[in-house]
Amino acid sequence: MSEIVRIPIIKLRDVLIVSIQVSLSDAVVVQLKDDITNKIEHSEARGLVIDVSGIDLMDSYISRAIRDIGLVARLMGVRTVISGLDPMIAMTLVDMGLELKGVRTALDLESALDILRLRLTGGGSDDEAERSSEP
Amino acid sequence: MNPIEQRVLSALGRYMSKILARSVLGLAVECTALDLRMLSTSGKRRLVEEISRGVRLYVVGEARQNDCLSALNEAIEGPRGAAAPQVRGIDTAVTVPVIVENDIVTARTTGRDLCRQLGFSPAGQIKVATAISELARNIIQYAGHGTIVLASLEASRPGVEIVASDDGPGIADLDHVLGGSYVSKHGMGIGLKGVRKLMDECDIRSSSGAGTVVTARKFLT
Repeated sequence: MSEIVRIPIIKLRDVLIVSIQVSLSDAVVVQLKDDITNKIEHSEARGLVIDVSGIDLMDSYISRAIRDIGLVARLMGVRTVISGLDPMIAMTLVDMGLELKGVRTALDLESALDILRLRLTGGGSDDEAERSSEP
Repeated sequence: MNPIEQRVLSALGRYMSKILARSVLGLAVECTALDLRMLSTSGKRRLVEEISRGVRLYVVGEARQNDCLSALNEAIEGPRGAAAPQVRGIDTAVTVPVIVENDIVTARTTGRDLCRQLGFSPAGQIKVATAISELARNIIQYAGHGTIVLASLEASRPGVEIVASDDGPGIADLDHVLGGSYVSKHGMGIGLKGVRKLMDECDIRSSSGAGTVVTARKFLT
């Protein structure tokens, strides 16, 4: 079997940035989960952005996996924002009745970083900011 | 006059007199009791067979007979599909074996490409690809292996058809899975329900121990 593609995790000050630009197979998703939790453990990161603008589609498995990563990160004290959800994918998720419940979403990477900066400097409470993805 | 009637008469008219052509067609319609306004694929075949008899009777010479028969075929079937026998209602079909986890990606990419070729909107392409992904994942997770057949549907109602089949353990309680309360270990309990919502038609056949066949269709319009 070919080696699993690893998605790079970039650290920018106290934020980890993960940009998914490949078609996600289940193995890649599992690897990503491990890599992110490892990185969180060994870095001083306080925020995590998962940018999904390059993703081809999100089915129930992938969206659950991404949501889980966000929830695990939160338990580890890292705030997570998912950014760049394609409008067509967002519509598909809504059609299927899937929501990324419990995870903050943002239009693009830039606004995700803005949200994190605001939260990390103390503005905005965690609960108030949570919403599910909508087109 | 109905278009098929018109095309058949003009095709036959090149090889026999107009009155003869009319009586050959009239007799064929009478014998087969077909309604020319709505012909099924098998109806068309029967009509061609019936008229062919008249052609062999009244057209002289084998070469001319063959020419006449192919003109007849074209008149009834339309310019393309005259020669190639087709699976009913299906133009092309691709079979994707689903054996390893990576085949999920192959299946959905193939499906998306097919939808793009068929002229589905980007949103439609994503919906079909997502449905394929769910079905392929179910095969891997519950049955271990199976196949996904992707086919384009014929011109009368263009669209795409997904047939996901396996001979795995089957679904013991389909109503429970499709009902609101079911939550699987892996996804969000939304796989099959999601497929039903994403596609226009979805037929699930399964019973405990007998495998599962899911047929789902989405139409262009």
